[in-house]
Order: sequence, then structure tokens, then C-alpha cells
Amino acid sequence: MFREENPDYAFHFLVKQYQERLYHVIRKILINHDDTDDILQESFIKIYQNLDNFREDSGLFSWMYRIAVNEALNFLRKQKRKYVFSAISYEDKLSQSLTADAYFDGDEAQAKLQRAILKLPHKQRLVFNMKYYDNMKYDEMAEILNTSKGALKASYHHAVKKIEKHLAPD
Amino acid sequence: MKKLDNIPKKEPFKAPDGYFDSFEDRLKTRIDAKKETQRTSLWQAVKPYFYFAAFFAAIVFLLKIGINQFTDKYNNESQNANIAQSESLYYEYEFISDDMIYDELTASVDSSDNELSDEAIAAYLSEEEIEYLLYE
Repeated sequence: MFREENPDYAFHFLVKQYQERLYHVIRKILINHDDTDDILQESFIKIYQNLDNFREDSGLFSWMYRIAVNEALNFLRKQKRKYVFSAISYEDKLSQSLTADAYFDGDEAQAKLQRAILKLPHKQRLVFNMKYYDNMKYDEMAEILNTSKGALKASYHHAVKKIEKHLAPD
Repeated sequence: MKKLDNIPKKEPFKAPDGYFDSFEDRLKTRIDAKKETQRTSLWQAVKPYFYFAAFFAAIVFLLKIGINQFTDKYNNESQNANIAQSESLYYEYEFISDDMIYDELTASVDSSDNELSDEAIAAYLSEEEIEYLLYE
């Protein structure tokens, strides 16, 4: 494959091809643009460093997606630890800053949906984003998250239920 | 109808204008910086062990020099003692003249003991029945 002949060109191709998709994957997890930029760069550095180890029996995008998600979740865990003794949770802080974010591209309904998603546990949030926004198949999700399809279906079902409960008028 | 279906499905976030155009350049800068940091951090990680090894080598070297000096000194002292002993023996021998050796050898034999009296000789010869020799 051309990555063996010209790894720099292969990497340049990957960045150009996937930077935008991976940006949105990470952005929906971290919400904040600056954090997303940081983690997107870290993800591509990991991809660059491990390009030789990439096994072609798994899909390239699935592999990159998994790296980006792992990096984002690790960052999220670290941030959450900083808020352990805080009056508000890290998710509440993100929720509050949502509409003030200059790069939030939605109306009040979109903001309410994002706040509902932020209330979900990490795994359910991830599964919901993959299925709802990225239209991923359960097979692909199972490969990325290393989880059974049944568990993913159940997780998505619970996530939708919780979100709809949150969106329902009081 | 479900409430979720009423919300248009679209990417809720956008990136700043021109963000993706400059992303690769910033990424390359960061990768280069990271490589440099890794080189530095590798040296930083190895540095304490290097200094410890150098310190240990210096200690061993100094100990070796100390031991060599001690053993050299000890060997010299014992060698000097041997030389001194052999030299003193030489000087002792040097002061012994041939006359002294002769005197020493002759002194051990008392000459008076060697001079037998005529009576003693006569008695011995008569005992051996060869007293005729006395008159020859």
C-alpha cells in the first residue's frame, strides 16, 4: 500500500480526508471547540505514530474513529475528575456554556437536545451520537466500541427514552 | 409523534472559518514539537541513570587508584625490607675478614688439648703393646 512507500503523503491524505468528520465526532463529545481542536490534533498524532500498526482487516475510518473516541473520553474523564469537589458537574458547566458558544450552530430546540444528550452516561451518549448523527450501522459501532450489537441496541434505546423524557414539556 | 423527530437532524456545532485549511500545518508543527520533546525527554529520562553510572564509574576508578597505591606502597615497603635485610647481611659478611674466619676455625680447637704429654703417649703405647716404638 502507498503508506509504506510514502508515509507522509499517506498521512497528508488521511488528514485531508477525515479531519472534518473526526472533528465533529470529538466535538459532540467535548462540546468546546478549543478542547476539540486539542484532542483532534492528539488523535491525529496517535494515528501518525501507529499508522504502521494499522491492521487492514478493520476499516480505516473505524480505526481512526476509535482512536478519536478514546482520546476524547480520556480527556473527558480527566476533566470530570477536576470537578469532583465542585458545586456543579463538568457536564452542567458544558450545558451552561452551550448557547454562549460562538460555534454552536443550532436553535433553542437543538440546544435543548444537546443538554439532554449531556445528561446521558458517556457510553449512551457515544452510542446515541454514532447512531443518530453519524448514521452508523450497529456492526460498525460494535467493531469500534468492542461491544455486542445487542448491548448497543439496548443502549441506544435507553438513550432515546431518556432524551425524549427530557425534551417532553413539563 | 416523538419529540426527537421534530428536531431537524444536523450537525449542531461548526468549526471556525478556515479552521480545516490551517489544521494540517498546525498539526505538523505539533508533531515536530512532540518529536523534539520526545528526544529531549528521552535524554531527560536517561540522564539520571547516566549520571549515576558516571558517578559509580568514578568511585570505582578512584577506589582502584587508591588500592593500587596502597598495594604498591606495601610491596615497596616489603621489598625495601628484604633489600635492607640482604644489604645488612652483606655488610656483615663484608666486615668478616679471612683472618677472622681462620681465627674462628682455629679457635674452636684448643691447641693445648692437642698436645699430648710424653707420659700419655707412653701409657697408650704400652697398653697397645707397641712400646718398642717408644724407643725407636
